[in-house]
Amino acid sequence: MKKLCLVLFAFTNISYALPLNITPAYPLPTGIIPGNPVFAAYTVENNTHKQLNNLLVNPPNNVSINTTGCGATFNLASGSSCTLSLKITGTVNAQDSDVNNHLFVCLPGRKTCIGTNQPLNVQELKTPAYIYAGSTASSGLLSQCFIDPETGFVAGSLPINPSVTTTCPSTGTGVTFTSPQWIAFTASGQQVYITDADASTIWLCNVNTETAQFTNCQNSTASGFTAPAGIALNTAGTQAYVADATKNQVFLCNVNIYTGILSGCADSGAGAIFSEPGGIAITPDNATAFIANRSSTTISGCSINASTGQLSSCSTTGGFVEAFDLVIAPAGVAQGTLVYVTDNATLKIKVCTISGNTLNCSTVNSYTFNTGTNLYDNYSFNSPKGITLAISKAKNATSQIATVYVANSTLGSAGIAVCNYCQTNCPNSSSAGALICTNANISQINNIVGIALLD
Amino acid sequence: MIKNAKNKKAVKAFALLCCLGSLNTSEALTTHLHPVISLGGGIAATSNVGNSIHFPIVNTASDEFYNYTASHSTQENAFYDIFIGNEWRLNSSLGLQAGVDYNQIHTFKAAGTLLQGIDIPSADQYSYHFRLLSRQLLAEGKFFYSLNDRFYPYFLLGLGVAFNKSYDFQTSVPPFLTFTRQYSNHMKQAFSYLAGVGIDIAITPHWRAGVAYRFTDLGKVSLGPASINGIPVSGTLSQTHFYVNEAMAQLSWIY
Repeated sequence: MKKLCLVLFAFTNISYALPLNITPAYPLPTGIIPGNPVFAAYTVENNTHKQLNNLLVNPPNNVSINTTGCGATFNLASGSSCTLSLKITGTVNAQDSDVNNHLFVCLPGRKTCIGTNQPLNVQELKTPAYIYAGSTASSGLLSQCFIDPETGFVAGSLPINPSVTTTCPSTGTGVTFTSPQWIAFTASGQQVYITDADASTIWLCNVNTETAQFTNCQNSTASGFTAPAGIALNTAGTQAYVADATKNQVFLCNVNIYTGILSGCADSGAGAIFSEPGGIAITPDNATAFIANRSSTTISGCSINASTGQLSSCSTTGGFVEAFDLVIAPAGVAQGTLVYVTDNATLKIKVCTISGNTLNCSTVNSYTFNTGTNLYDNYSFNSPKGITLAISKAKNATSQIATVYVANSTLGSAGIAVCNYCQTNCPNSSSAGALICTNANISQINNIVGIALLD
Repeated sequence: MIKNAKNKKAVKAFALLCCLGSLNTSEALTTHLHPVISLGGGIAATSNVGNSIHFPIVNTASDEFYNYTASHSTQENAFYDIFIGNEWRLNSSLGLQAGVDYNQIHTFKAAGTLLQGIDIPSADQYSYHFRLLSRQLLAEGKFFYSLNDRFYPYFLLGLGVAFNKSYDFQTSVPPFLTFTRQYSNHMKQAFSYLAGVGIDIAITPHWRAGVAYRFTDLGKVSLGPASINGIPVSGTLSQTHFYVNEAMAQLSWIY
């Protein structure tokens, strides 16, 4: 037998391939924003002439194995392959001297293990926070504004001189937007969707990991829309809900978690029951989707099927004149899980608690700083449309509280209001929970619609 | 047990040669004692470093095969030699130098190719190497013939122990691409012998210079236990005999 082997070694044209070929199925991520997982996928192919059973995956630190695809333990027939899907929640060092911190697929017993020529190398991104604003009346302008990391204010809008006009550069290379409106980031924060209602298109851009600018924008390939408006991803980042303002439907699309490509867009299951739907927000438990109906004074709340993502059992909450957009404060915030809604026609922000698929809402008092004798003046929003929020941006915050950003869309004086939840020293005893706002005028953009935060 | 028996054999042989000088077989042997100290050095050459070994798959569900093919390229290295003993004249022409010899050869490199895989189509070839440092401690006898007390052709025999240190095993297997067998360093004590011929030339009544050719078997060479990814596995890289040819120049002082 030994002689036979030696003869074979001498005369066989040996292909220098490992028992398993482990190659990236998509371009590998190189950076991670803390708190935002990124995803990687490898194709694992059996190069041997025998079936390999009970293969075990040894993931690096900060990497877990998705059950879809190969999974953590799998069998692989000769010549066949599967996709190994990985979720990355922290940095991964390709040069780590500890072999246990590298990706290997092992035969039982872990004596025969195969790695990859293209290992994961994911560095932490320290991108500053930016807010992005899309508009309908500025020649398709999409603006990127810097956020002061200490105060959370949009640069140029510091409290001591709130009237200074901010200049935010435009962003988005590769395409010409018609009316970029709503903006939503993928779970990794490294791709972004921009709905362009007038172009009936959802654009997909990469987010530059250093400058946070939108680059290489391209058609997301999602189709079937007439006027895509609000867009939101489920908590896993695997599905996207898109409101179509003309078809009065909400579409459900699959998200390629590695590339951001949208596919399989179809009615979410709720049907054409909405009325010029705008903003969409998903509850942190991924149980309910709330959709603002801009033409029917209501907000719809629909149950999300846990396995399919489809919407059903929709209820409505009234009391609005033109509910335009909404955002949900995540769990862990001092105020609790609250929904903030822009009511464009009343120039007010409403704050709501969640009760199943409905909301209990009240108007929020809003104030601004006064340089005179009174500490605060009343603050009025200017046709508020898009709304988003960040956590712990408030100056001197004593706990995890929300800072709410509101798009003031009035033509000629568009800007972004930066509003902090009032904890202490509120304007009066009845105003606890009010929003203390500062306006950042943005010179080059009019009629801001959607805003989104990369934090 | 086998190791102990071999060591005992080597010690006995060593003692036999050492004691030749003290045998009371003739008046000449007992009345003409001459201490000898020799220093030598030269070139040691071998094409016998390493051994081709095949480790087959034992468990088809979990193992790979590992096929080591030694390159057996010829290597030359310097060595040095120290001999301390006594010289006896058996008669006017024949004599014997007997004593203890210690020598050390500069490090040899055992190298070759490693083929590992689950089956032939998916096997990969890498290179491997480790270092080998050998030292010998021998009981040595040099039987010489005196031509006019100026030329001393001789043959020599030595028996004793070799200390073969195998260390620094490395492969070209990319460390994060796949695993391979790793071997620990190991010092192997082995029975060893040496034989040679040469000639010494008297420079002065007390100094001789000479040259010699020597052939030696340094005995068994072995790396230490093997492991893969920290898991012990059976078998190691070894060879039963390590043959070396030596060309040596030597300077001796005889009292």
